[in-house]
Amino acid sequence: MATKKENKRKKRTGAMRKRFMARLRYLDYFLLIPYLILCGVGVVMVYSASADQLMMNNQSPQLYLNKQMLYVTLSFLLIAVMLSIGWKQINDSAMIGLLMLITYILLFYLVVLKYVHPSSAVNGATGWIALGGFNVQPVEIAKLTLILYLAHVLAKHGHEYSQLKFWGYVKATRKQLVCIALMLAMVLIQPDLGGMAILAFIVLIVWISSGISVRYSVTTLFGTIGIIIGLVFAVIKLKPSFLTSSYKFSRLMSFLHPFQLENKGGAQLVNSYYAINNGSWFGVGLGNSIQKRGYLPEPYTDFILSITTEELGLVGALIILALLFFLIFRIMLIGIRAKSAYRSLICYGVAAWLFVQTLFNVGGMSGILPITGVTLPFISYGGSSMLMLAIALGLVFDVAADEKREQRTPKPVQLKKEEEAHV
Amino acid sequence: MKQPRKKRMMKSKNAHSNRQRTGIAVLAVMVAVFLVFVFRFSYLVVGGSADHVNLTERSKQKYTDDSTILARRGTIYDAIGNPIAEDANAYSIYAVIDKDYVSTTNKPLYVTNKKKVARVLSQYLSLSQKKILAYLNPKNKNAFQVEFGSAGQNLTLDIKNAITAHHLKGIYFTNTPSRLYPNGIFASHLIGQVSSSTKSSGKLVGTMGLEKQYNTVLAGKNGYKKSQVDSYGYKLDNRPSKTVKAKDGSNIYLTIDSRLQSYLESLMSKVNRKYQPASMNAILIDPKTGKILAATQRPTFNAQTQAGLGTVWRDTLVEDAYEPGSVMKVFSLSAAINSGKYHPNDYYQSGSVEIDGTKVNDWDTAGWGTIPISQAFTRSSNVGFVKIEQGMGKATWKEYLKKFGFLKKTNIGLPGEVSGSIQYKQPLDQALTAFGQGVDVSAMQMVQGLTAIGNGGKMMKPQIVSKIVNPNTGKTTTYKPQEVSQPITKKTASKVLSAMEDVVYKSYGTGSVYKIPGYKVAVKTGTAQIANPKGGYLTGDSNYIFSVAGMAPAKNPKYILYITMKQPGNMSEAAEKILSEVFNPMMKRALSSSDDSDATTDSTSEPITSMPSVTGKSVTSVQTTMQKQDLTTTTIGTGNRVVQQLPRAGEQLTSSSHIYLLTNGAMTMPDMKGWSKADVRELGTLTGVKFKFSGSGTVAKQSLAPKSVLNSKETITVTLKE
Repeated sequence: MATKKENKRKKRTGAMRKRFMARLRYLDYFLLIPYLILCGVGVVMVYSASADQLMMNNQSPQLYLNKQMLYVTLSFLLIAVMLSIGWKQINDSAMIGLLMLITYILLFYLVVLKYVHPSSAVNGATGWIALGGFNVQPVEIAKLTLILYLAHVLAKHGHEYSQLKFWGYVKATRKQLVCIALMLAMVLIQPDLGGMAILAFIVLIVWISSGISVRYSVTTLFGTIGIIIGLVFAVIKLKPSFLTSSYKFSRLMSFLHPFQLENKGGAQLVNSYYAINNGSWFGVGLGNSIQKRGYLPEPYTDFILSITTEELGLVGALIILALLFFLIFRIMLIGIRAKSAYRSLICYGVAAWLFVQTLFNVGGMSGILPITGVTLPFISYGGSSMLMLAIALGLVFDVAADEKREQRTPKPVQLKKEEEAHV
Repeated sequence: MKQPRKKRMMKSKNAHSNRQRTGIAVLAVMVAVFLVFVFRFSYLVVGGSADHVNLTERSKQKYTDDSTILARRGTIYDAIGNPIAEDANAYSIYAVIDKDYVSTTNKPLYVTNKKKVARVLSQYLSLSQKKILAYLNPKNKNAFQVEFGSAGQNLTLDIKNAITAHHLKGIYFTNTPSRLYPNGIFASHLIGQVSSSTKSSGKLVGTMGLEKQYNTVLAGKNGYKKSQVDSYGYKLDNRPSKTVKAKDGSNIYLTIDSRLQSYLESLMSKVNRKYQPASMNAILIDPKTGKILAATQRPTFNAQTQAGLGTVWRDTLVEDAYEPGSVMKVFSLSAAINSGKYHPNDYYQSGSVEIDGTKVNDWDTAGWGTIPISQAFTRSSNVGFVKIEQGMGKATWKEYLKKFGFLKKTNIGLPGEVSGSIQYKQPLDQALTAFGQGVDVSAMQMVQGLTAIGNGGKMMKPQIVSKIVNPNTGKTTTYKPQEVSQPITKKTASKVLSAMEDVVYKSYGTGSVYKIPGYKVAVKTGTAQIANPKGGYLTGDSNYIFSVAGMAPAKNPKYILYITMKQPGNMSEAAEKILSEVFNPMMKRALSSSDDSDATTDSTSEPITSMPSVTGKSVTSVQTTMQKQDLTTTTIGTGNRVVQQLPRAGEQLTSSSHIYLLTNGAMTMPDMKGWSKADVRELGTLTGVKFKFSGSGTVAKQSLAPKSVLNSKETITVTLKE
C-alpha cells in the first residue's frame, strides 16, 4: 500500500517537473523581463530608502534589503510552483471553496481581534496576523481569493450572461455578490477603506467582464467611476456635517490643501512633492535622497516612488512607471486574447489588481488622489503583497503559456477564426 | 441537436466578444491613467510647484537650519579691572506633562514619574516636594508644560548640569542671556540695567545708565549659522552652509574705583537708613583729571536682584536739576576775585538786605553786625553775596556762570542729562543766583565747576569711561582727561581754596564738622531752599537740600567730594553732622588709599584685614577661607556661586564681622537666630527685603521660616529678645 502511494507521489512530482519544464518553453518574456527589472529596482530602492532610517534606529542597514531579497526569491519559487501545478488544478470547486473559507476565517479573526484586543492595532487598523515570524495580511489573500472565486463561477456561465439584461445579470449573480459583499464589509470594519476599495475595483472589473453585453459593462465601468467622482466632489463642496469630523474627511481636505494643512495630515504629500521636485529630471543620484532622511515617513513602503523620483529623477520614475504599466497592459492583452473565459478573467483580475494598487499608490504620492497607504507593486518593501502577487503572476504566466502553446499547435479552425476576428 | 449547439456557439461567441471589448475599455482607462501620471510627474518637475507653492523654495526653507549666534555683551569694568556688569547665561526649567509628547519611536518625552521629579528638583530649587508636585499637577488638565515660578528661573549652568545629570524624563531648560551685577548696589543708576529684547532672540538691550548709553558698543553684533540639515539635524553634504561669527561687544573700563565706590555705597546706605532723606547724591571726583572715582544716589536699587528698581528710575546725578544753594558761592566768589571786583576789606551790614522791596535774609536773620566782605563766604552770608554780585554786575556774573559750565550739559556720556536753567531778569533774581537760588543745576555740573577750583583754574570735564576695548580687534580707545576751559586763574583758584579752608578752620566757619585729622580740608556748605510747586519756597526745618562740597588736601586737592541730601525725614542731628557721616570717612578713605599707593613706606599703620572680593567664586571655597579666619558666613540662596557679598570688597574686617554671601539661584531665608539688629539690616541691604522689628536684643523669632524663598516685596517681621 505504502509503496503504491509513494509511487503515486513520485509519479505526481515527476509529472509536475515535466509540466514546469514544458511551461518554460512557452514563457512570456514580455511579462518576465519587466517583472524581473521591477523586482531588481525594488530591491535596490528598498535598500536605498531604508538604510538611513535603520541606522538611525541602531539596526543593520541591510535588514530590509535582505528581507526584500528573500521575498523576491520566494516569489520566483512561487511562480515556479504555480507553473508546475497549473491553473486547472486550482480552478476546482472544492479548492475555491476551501480558499474562500480560509479567507473568511482570517478576516473574521481580525474583526474579532479588533473588538477583543484593540491595542494590537497597527497604525489604527488591525490588518496583520503574526504567523511564526511572518506578518500575514488577510486582505492580500482576499484579493487573490476573490479573483479565483469570481473567475471560477463566472467563466462557467459566460455564454448565458451574454443574453441577460443588466438587472437580470445582477439577479443571476446575487449569491456571489452577497458572498463578496460580506467579505468587503469585513475588510471595511477593520477599518481598511483602501483595501476594500481595491477589492471592490477588482471585483467590478472581473464581474463586468463575464460576457455580459458590452453596453452594460462599459456603462457600469464608467458609471461607477462617474458616481465616485461625483460623490467626492459633492462631499468637498457641501462638507456635510456628519462627515467633517471624520478622519477620512480630514485626509481628503489635507489632500486638497496639503500646504495649508501641513501640520494636520498634509505633511506626507508635501514631503512627497519635495522629493519629486528635488529629483528634477535626472535625480540627485542613487542613495542621495534628502527626504528619506527623516522628512518623509515610510520611505521604503508607501512613498518609495517619491524617494525613487528624488534619486533617479523624472526620467527614472517614468521608466519604472512605464515598465509597471507595460506589465499591466501585457496581462490585459493576454486576457483579451485568451480563448477561454476563465483565463481571460484571471488576467483581467490580476491586471486590475496591479493597476488599482499602482493607481492608489502613485496617485497618492503625486497628489492626484488622497493618500490611502497602499504599497507599490514589486517595488515597495513588504512580503504579503509581493508573495500574493507572485502567485497571481504565476497563474498569468501559466495562462500565457497555454495561449502560446495553442497558438503554435493549431486546434479546431473555428476557434482560431474566432480569435482572429476579435483581435 | 444542431440548432441548440449552434445557438450555444453563437452565445459563446457573443460572450467572448463582449469580454474582449470590455477588456479593451478597461485597458483604455488604464492607458488614460498612465498618461495622467506622466503628465502629473512632468508638471511637478518642470513647473516646480504644487498647490501654487514653489517647491524648491519651500523645501530649501525646510532644510535650512538658521540659528543665531549670540554676541557676548561687553563687560563693564571698574578702573582696576573688577567686573561691574558681565554676561551670564541663566536657565529656566520647565516640565512637559502632555502625555502625547512622545518620540518618533513612541518613547515618552513627558514627565513619567512626577514623584521622582519632585524629589530631585526639591534638592536644587527652593521649592518643597509638595509644591513641585502641585506645579506638576496643574488645574488645567490640558496644559502642555508647566514652569516653576521664580524658583525655576535664573538658574546657573552648574545647577542646570546637576539637574540634567539625573536624566529626568520631561524636564527641559530654556537658556536666556542675563546680566550679572556682582556688586549689587553699586552706582546702580549710573551703570544701568538691561532687558532682553523680544525682537532679536533674547539679545540684551540696555535700558538705563551706561548700559543704555553705550548699548551699541556693548552689544556687539550677533552672528548666524545657516546650514542645510536633514530632519535629524545632521548637515547635508553638497549643500551650501554659511556661518558668520558673532562679533562680541566691547568691554568698557570705567574711572570708578570699586573699593571707593563700595565704601561710598555703604556709607550712603547707613546715612540713608538713619536719617531717611527724600534723596541723596554723592560724587567723588579727581579734580586733576575729571575722573569720577565714585558716585551714587539714594534711593537706589540692587542691580542684581532689582530690588528697589521701581522707586526712582532717573539717574539723579545728571537728570535732576535743583537749586544748589550756598555751595554756589564758591563760583560767585571765584567770579568776583577773578574779575577784580572783590573787595574783602569792605564792610557791610549783615542780617538782611532789601532788593526792589523784597527782603533777603542771612541764614541767621539776626546777622553778625557789620562785618568785612571777607567773612561773607566763611559765614555763608547771603547778604554779603548780594553785595558781591552787585559789585561785579549782572553781566560779569552771568558770564562766569557760563564759564563754569552751567546752563550747558557736561556731556559726560550718560543718558537724559539736563542743562539747567536760570531766572536772571530782575535784579532780585540776579542777586539770588549769587547764593544758588533761582538757578537750576545738576550735581554733575557742580562737580565740573568745582574741578576748576581744585585744578588751578582749569576746568576738567567729568569723565566716567576711561577706555573701551574691542575684544575682536584688540583695539583700545582711551579717553584722555579733557580740559573744558579755564574760567579762572590759578591765583584765583588758590584764593578760593583758602577761603574754603577757612569755612572749616575759622571759628566762625560753617563747616567745622568736616575736619579730618591728619589732612587739611577745604569745604563749602549749602542749605538750599526748595521751590514750592505752588509758588515761593517750602518752609519747615527739613525742607531743604543740604549739601557740602569739599576738597582735600586743601593745598593741592586730589579729591573733590560733593554730597547733597534732600529733606531728611529724621533730623535727629544737624544737617552738617549728617553729611559729615558720609563726607569725613569717605574723604579719609580716599586720601589714605592714595597715601598707600603714593608712599608704601607708611609702615606705622597696623595691618588691616580687609574683605577680599569673593563674587564669582564658589560658595564652598569662600566658606572654607572664611572659616579659617574664624569669620561667620551666612549663605543666602540655593546657588553655588557668590553673586554679592557683604561686607564689600575692601572693607575692614573685625573678628566679629558677619559675612553674607548672596548666591545665584533663588534667594532663601537664612536662620537668623541670635543675629543682631545690624546683622538683619545688612541682610536687608543685600537682598532688598524689608524687615520690621519688635523688641530689642538679638533675633529670637522670624516670621519667614529658614530656607523659605525670599520675596523682596514682602516685609518680614523679626522679634528680638535680650
